[in-house]
Amino acid sequence: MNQQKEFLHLIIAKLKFPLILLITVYTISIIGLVLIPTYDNNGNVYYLDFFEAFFIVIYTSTTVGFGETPYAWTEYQKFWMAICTIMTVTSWLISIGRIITIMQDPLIKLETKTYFFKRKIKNLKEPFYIVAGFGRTGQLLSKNLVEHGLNVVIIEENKMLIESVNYIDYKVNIPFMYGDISDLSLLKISGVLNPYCQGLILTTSDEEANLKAALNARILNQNLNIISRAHHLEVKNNLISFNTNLVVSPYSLFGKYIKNKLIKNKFINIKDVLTKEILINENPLEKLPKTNWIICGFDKFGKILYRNIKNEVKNINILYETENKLNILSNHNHINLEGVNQEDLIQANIVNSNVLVLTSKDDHKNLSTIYTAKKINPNIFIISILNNEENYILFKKLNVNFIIQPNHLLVREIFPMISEPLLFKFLKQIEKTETEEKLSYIYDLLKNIKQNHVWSLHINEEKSLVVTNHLDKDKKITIQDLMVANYKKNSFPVPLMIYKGDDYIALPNYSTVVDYDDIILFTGNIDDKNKMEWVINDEIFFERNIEYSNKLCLIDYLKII
Amino acid sequence: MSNKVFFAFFIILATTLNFGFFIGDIDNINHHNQFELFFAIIVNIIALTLKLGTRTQIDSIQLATSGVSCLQLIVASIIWFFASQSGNIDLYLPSIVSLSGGAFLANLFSVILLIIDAIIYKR
Repeated sequence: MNQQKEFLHLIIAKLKFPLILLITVYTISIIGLVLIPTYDNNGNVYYLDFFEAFFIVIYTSTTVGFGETPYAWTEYQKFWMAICTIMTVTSWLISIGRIITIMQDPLIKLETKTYFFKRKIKNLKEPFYIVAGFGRTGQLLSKNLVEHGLNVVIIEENKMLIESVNYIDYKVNIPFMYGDISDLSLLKISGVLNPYCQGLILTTSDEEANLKAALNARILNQNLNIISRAHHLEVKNNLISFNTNLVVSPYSLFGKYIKNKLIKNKFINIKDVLTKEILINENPLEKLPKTNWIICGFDKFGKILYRNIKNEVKNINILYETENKLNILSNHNHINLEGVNQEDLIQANIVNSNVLVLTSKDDHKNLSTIYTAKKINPNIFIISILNNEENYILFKKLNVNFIIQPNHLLVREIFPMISEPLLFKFLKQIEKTETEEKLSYIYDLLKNIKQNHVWSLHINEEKSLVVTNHLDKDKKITIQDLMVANYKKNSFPVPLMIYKGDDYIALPNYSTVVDYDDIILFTGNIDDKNKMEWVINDEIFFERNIEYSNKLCLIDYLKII
Repeated sequence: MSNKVFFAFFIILATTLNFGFFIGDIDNINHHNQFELFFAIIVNIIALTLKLGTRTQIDSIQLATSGVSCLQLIVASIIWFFASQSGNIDLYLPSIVSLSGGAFLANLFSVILLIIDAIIYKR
């Protein structure tokens, strides 16, 4: 309320001068006209009354000019009217000039923007997330969130970048504001204290700002879901120390990703399959040789990748131009060259190498290395970082085997946590507890589904009234009663996990009994999801489905396994 | 400081002009000058403009008093206009004067508030 008044006050304070100027000029003009004697049609002396004078001044000042009323003007009146017209027109020009200046005032502009931004958030009576940073990660994340049906509020420091929100067609109205998210007042304006605010996602590359913003938001709102990007371990630990829900770093994600691919971690495959719809430009990475690697560049990406794979890979050559000897293990080499031209690559033994990893932040440096490397050794397996999405087509043309976009890794890490928190929980839990065999079993099961869509079903009166009504009649319901199998396409949803209060069962049997307040996480085609929603919302179909499911679903299920 | 002088000047001038018009026999046209009413209206409007943009409680009451006085005086002037058009100003004069009396009361409140504001400010 105060902010709003402040904003109005600012404008009114600046408008006082033109208003008083206008009032004064009008008064002088009217008084002049009233005092000047004139003659009526009969030649008698006549004084204009206040209304007539007021009327004359009003129409002359707006340059309408209705003529000489009520009687023909005398020379004195004409003289006075000339002065009045000059005065009133000038004062109008001054006033309009003032108003335009006020509208151009950067402070007022900012206040206006803030005012409308606040109003938009106030009227947004649906759950929303605040995304700080509209870089590539922020853009991709916002796009995915909006497509998933969530509302986002965007904060970005760069004025040009934030204006681009206007030119992206999101199909929904997205409130956005420029400013530094670590600024407490901006954080409050963007709705951290709003009961509909679900979480704060900090995707800016400025760690300091992320840390400050995360801490401020945590103190202001204990229930907020805070996700932050961080690069350094100290910052990461600090963020976790005040209950930041998720801390992600593109560098360590990249390193871990390659490592998991290398040791054929089944978990990462499952994650890939379940979060496939978020990733674009993804091609499978099946067999990676474990010997003779070349890593180009030893900046953050290279360094963390090396740390992750140094024990897995035999003989890594690192191409990095630096004076100091790098701190690397004895069975790996550091070659003090940039690695863009032919001689450098030959010196790194490219002829006998199996894998080339490019970690430079400059796409064209990577491209030039790839081109040269392909010329010397056409069979080499190339993994490259793609910094700018526009260059994807160039990498594709050069037949780069595996292209990684760090932004996509970030988004894939963050998105499931927001869109389907249970999926996130599921991934965390199977990563911790399940055995290799079980993981590969899950993977085999999921591989058969063409498009993995993940959704959850809550057994309560609000979300699934028909099911609870059924339970009220003391009837037993199993998971397969809820599902509809498509026999023609041989597709059916797979229950990933069933949550019973704090307990959970991963990969529950189809005959697992469902009870009140259970949450079941499914994966399958979008078609399967729609059918399930259809069945659990209709009494007749639901009962019919129960009759059929006992006979049919199990058979189908057994066929696949 | 000059801003404050300007502000107080217009509030007090609005009150005094209003009083000047109001004083006299309620039905005697010679006691009520139309120029005085005109200036009272103008000065009241200026005072209203100066009070726009309220920040504190007292400011908003100030604005309200000016609003009341402007309203009453403008209504009085409109009555004057119609009365002079129909030619029987004497018939309507009492209501014009009594309206200006109401406006004067509002202006008086405004002056009191001005004094209170000054006293609070001193401390």
